[in-house]
Amino acid sequence: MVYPEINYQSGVPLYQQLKRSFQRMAALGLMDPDQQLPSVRQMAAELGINPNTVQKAYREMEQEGLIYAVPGRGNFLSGQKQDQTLEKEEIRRSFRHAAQVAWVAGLAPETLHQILDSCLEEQRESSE
Amino acid sequence: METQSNSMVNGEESVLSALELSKEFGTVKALDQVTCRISGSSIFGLIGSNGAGKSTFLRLAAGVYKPTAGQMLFKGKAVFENASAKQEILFVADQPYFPFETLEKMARLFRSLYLNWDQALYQELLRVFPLGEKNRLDRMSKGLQRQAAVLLAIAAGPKLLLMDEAFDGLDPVMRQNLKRVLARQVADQGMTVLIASQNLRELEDFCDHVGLLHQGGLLFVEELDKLRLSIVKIQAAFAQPVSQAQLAQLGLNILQYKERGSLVEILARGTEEEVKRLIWTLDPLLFDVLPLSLEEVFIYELSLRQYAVSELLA
Repeated sequence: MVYPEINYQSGVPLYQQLKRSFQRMAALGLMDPDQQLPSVRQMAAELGINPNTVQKAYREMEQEGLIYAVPGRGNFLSGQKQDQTLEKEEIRRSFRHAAQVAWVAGLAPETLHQILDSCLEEQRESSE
Repeated sequence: METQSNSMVNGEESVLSALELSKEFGTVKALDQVTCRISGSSIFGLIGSNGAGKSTFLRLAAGVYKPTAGQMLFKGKAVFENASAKQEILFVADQPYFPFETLEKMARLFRSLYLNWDQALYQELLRVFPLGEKNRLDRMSKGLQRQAAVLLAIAAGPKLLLMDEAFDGLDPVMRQNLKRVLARQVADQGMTVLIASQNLRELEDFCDHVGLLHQGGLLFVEELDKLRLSIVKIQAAFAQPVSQAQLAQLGLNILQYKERGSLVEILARGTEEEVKRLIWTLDPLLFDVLPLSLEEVFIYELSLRQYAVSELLA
């Protein structure tokens, strides 16, 4: 069973953390389409989270099409691609500013690519 | 004091209802016309400083006290002198009292008193909370005594578990263990939990609803996520100076606005996404959503109700 990571200090509501965590795992291929999610009970008891919080995360994920429920059997990851418009917009914005700085500093495009690669590498390492 | 009675139950049956509930001790009004409904399978946090009336509320819910006025109902029936309600309501006091000297003897007492006593669960909990069944309870620390009381209460299979400051002073491992056990009982047995605490932090990651008590009155009851998601704190910098009026004109509902050089810090009403989209239309040089503690949310909610926060939160 795959359990999401929770950060109690972040100030982000736990149900949102649960949602984002499953979105991330799905996007990274850590979970497969039609894979079963832990039951509300399992998740609550395992992580020590209020079952209502888990329920709320599942309900919203279902509404957004990230998961589907099979009555009597549980919740499963759907194969659908998620709408990541907002995330993409945010990333583009950050890149645009970085590109501005790079332009002023006269950095070569290859250097920028290298920086991006090493940033991704750092992320990969820190999430392992 | 006027009491807010925001209904918090979304059509679900409430397990515990306080209706215009008051309790006086001589001339002291410990609770003053409190109205509040707690729905089944929820985890409800009752917050307030010393003397706010938390323990009085719990003792009324446990049927230990008789209301001076108003009602305290469990599944629609008055709790006081209601034997069947007392089978299903377990109360863990701030300072537990044990009529027998060991956990083993206490368990035997509970087994004879409570029809829903779950011996297998009791054995399991003994492994989670390693207290030693034969150790003298009166020689245990306050923290361990509280663990013993919680353990007995959970094994008694309550529908409603009342805990006075139960999380306070637990070490992180025991705290997490307790949360896991409670979460499971809520999910499996439909148990409802009412936890009182002085400390908002003790409750903010576990409760679904919180109520704030002050001087015997309930100031508000709200779903925690709703409280948290209704306010966003951001910091931004713009290439062209942007005034507060401009932002307001765009439709940003500004609660607090601080300028630090070219950096502005804004507390705004709305969801994170709404605020984000709005700020982005101005093409900020820098934009961050800052973490917002529940305490800050409370401070804001209370300022709306014109209370000074310092006197409310410990």
